[in-house]
Amino acid sequence: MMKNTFRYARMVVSGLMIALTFLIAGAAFAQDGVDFSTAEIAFAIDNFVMFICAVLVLFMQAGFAMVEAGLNGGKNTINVLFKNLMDMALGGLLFFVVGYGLMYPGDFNGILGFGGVGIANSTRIVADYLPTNEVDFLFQVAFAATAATIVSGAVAGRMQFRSYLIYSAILTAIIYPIAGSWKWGGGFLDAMGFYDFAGSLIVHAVGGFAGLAGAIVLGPRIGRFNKDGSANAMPGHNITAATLGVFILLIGWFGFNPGSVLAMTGEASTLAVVLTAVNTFLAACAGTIGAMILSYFVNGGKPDLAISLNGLLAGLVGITANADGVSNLSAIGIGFIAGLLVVGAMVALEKLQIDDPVGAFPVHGVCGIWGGIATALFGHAGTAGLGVQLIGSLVYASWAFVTMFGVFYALRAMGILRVSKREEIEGLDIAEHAGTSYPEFGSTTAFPAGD
Amino acid sequence: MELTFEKNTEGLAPYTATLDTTKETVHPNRVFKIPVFKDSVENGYFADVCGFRAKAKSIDGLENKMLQLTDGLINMARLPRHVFVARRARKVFPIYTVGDEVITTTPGGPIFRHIELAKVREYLTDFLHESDVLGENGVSDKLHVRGTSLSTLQLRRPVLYLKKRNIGEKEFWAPVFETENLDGLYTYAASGRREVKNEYGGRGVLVLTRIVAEALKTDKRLDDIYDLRPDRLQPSFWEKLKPNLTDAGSIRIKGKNIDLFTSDALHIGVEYREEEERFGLFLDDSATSLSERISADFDRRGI
Repeated sequence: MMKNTFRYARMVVSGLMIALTFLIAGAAFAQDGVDFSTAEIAFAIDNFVMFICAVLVLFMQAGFAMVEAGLNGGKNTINVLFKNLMDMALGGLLFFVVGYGLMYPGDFNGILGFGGVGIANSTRIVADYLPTNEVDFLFQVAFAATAATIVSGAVAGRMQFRSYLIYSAILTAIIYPIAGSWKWGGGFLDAMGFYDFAGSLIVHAVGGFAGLAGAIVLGPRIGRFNKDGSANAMPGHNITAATLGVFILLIGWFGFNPGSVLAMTGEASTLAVVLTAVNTFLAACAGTIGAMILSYFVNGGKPDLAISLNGLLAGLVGITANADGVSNLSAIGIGFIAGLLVVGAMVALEKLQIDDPVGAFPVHGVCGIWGGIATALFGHAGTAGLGVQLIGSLVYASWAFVTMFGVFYALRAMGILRVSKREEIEGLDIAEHAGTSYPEFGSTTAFPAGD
Repeated sequence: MELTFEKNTEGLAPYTATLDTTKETVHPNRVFKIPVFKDSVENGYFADVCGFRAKAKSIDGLENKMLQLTDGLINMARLPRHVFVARRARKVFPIYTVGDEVITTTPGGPIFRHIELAKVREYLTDFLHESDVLGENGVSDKLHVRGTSLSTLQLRRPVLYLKKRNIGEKEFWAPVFETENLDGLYTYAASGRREVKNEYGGRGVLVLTRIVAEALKTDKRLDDIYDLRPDRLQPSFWEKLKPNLTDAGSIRIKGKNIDLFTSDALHIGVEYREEEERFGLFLDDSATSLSERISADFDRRGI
């Protein structure tokens, strides 16, 4: 039954791609007097698919925005959405100017290099795929924005907007591109045989550990923890938006992972794309189930939607490192374990009194590491073994945590990291942006008035 | 939600409002009779709903105000069963009861939930201090707990408080209220609601104290069951309890007169707290240890 389902899914995906091929080829041949070679058509298809995947990954920004806004208080909605917007706008420009050249420096010492400003001057040492630098830039800049926006959720509700812009600029321009260069730019981890297919570690763990650093340096939101060490729930204001955001992220992940095959033409690429797509979907489902089961035990015997949504994302993050080379059953196992891990990590953060409003570190940090390790544990052919995967995990976690801890610490020392108590209670929408996201509804006063 | 007014021919309240929340709430009783008073200062009317006041120049105006107020107070299909009152800050915080838990929410902020009202009060107090609503911790406003009547939605003072106040040990505090049907006493302590019915007569106070003490001992929050004592007992309930006790004379400790009683093997010392017009009870299993216990408590209170 399950095998038939997978076969059916592959047939559907293959059918769509064949239709797409005819569509593009038809359009190309429709131009009078022009003959295109098979290689040129393949070039067009690969670039077109990559472009669609880049758009899907960019659409993930909408998903992150909905998840983070929905899981936070309504008084911080403008602030959360604004941060997500700036991750893309500011991060996108800086990644163009500096980041892309750092990430793909060409021949370099394996640790730090620079291929030049912008797209045209950059060269990539991995030359066995077809996409142009332009479409590759669009794909990669979306990854960079993803890494940055992960942190937004971890620091929500108490960080000054200007400090967030500084952090976001540093991560997208420097921290993330250098991390990416070590594997995808042909750096020292690539030389060691480390494998991270679409960025469980490079994108998600980097974002997750940067978020952990931010959450620690900022400290918890007022009222999150009691003096006796117990935690208070601070529920989001719109679980509908959060759920929509997670579904958007799921859709976006079909650009993130299958797009990371970086090609569509030819039997091998097509098979890799459809395998990756099915594995991505299965891991998401299994992660949701794993987290929902465990949520019974941490939520007084009732299943918790927000935890289950994070389970879905956990499954996606876990499979991102290895979706192209593990079996369907392995994908289910990886996703399910990620779903369990995310709940365990959320409970552990609570015990440690670290306030991560949306569970960014459990989802992206912990499950990013899990994805890297699972790549070896589940026998992906692309890796040189568990030892190398562990080294890669340690390197990425340390790099993101230590550098961003320093950045956040410096911002705190400058007195511009956290908003005042009053501003935090009032909400960052008013304090930081002089606006309210829902002027027609609810109360803008912090507490009920009464005589 | 429906609201109607009836004119009264006698009593202090010129009107009684009947509030029907059958469609909006899940309480056992969903129809409330709320007294409406004349506001002679502003020449209008006012009514209190769960500690929140609605005021208007006319009865028609009051109807809208009361409906708006009640609508805003309904949370999780419930009206607050308790409130915390910050007198100086002039704020009232509604507390909702779901199952055996009490819950209070803050707009866009944390939700405080626990089995014990005392814990919720402690957490909310810390939060309000940190967010500068109550002023400086320890020297300013306190939150006073009140119950809400499920027949009139008016505030009710606790019948008594169960307290453990030993120097160097973690304190315990729990207000005790009359049950909704006025047929017993209840409190929230040690993982649940603890309740005694009136079948114990006036001795329900002592029975409930023992039940809570045993539960706290099981939770390892109490070493000696007599460390927990009923304090600030309302005079009417003391009058119900007193006939069930055997008079054992009186004793003078640190200048204060303490009446002594026994009930089976239980020795009871009663302190009349003049400033509050309430009674504080001390319990122990012998007259000597009871005397030492009272003396130690007076030392702690600086008497």
